[in-house]
Amino acid sequence: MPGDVAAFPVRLAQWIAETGITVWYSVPSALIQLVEHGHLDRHNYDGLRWVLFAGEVFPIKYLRRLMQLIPHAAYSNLYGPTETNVCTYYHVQSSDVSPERTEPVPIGKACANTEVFALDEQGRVVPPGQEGELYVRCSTVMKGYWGRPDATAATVLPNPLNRAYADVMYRTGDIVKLMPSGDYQYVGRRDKMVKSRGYRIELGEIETALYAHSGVKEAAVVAVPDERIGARLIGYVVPGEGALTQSELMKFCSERVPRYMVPERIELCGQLPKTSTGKIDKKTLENESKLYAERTAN
Amino acid sequence: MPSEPQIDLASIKTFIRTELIYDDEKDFDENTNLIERGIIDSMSLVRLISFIEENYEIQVQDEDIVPENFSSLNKISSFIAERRKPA
Repeated sequence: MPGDVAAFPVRLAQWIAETGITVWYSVPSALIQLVEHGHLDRHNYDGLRWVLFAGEVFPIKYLRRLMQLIPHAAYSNLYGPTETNVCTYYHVQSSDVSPERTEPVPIGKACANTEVFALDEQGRVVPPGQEGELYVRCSTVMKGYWGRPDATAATVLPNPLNRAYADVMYRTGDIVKLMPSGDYQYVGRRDKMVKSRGYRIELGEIETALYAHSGVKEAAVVAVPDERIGARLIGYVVPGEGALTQSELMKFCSERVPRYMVPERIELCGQLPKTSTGKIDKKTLENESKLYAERTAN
Repeated sequence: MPSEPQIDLASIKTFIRTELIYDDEKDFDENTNLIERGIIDSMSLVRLISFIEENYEIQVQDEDIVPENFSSLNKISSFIAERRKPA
């Protein structure tokens, strides 16, 4: 796709119609931009037969509108961390986007030659209706994290359900619910990982980058849920000695973490709110950043 | 009638450099194609547009979000001037 088309939703819609592309595969946030700003109703997309999306949760209201605007295409939700590649799929039916539904569509069932299951905290396979953490077995499970044997040992584990031969599974960190249909529904993360525009982000890594600056006394980064891009990142910094500016911190941060991890705003403050045990009170910061996010919602 | 703020290309440029790309090295001038150079992408464009709407008190419609209006500082400036002309 030409770069100058991707950034402009109205042009992108026109481009899809004119090129007659048949299969579209992207993160949901790209499709949400099209639904919101692309004026999709102005063109026909007769060639488009299949729309696949993966990488983040697709809020149902945008998927519903997309399916109303382009009703003849098939829609599929794919799921899979980088460590396994795509491992489940769900073909969305029109009945899945009924007006009263509020939860996202399921991530579905295991792909061919792949096995997925959800285990409870005791390592038992969960029955339908219950939540558990999702584990994956397939030939594309990674060997491990480069130079991180500890992280590898924590996530690539022997399969407890098979004692006949050596066999590994990947622990995704994703909590899912097993539906009576046999499909899995994504529930959330076990840890603090957040996703923004389909990118996986550990807030602690951004905080570490900020702390690397000699003028930073305290730093905290919070994620504000945003249904269009997943999460917006806001940083809070207490400066130590010397002058410190927001743009200096932004630049410093961008030299240490990828662009998608640089907070869109870094607030300088005299102190950070603390919990009764003296930890940085992330809840209070989250509420504060939600107010900021509401003020600046696009 | 209060006088409208001047179209200050330097402030737009500063906004792009400090809030969108965080990188002094990646220099660009009034005619640089911001999209082709990878200086702004689809998501930062949304933030740039909010910035322009707030600072110049104009409404940017979906139809306005096209390369002809936003691919360089000069084009952004002409677009703002055009939009602020009295009807």
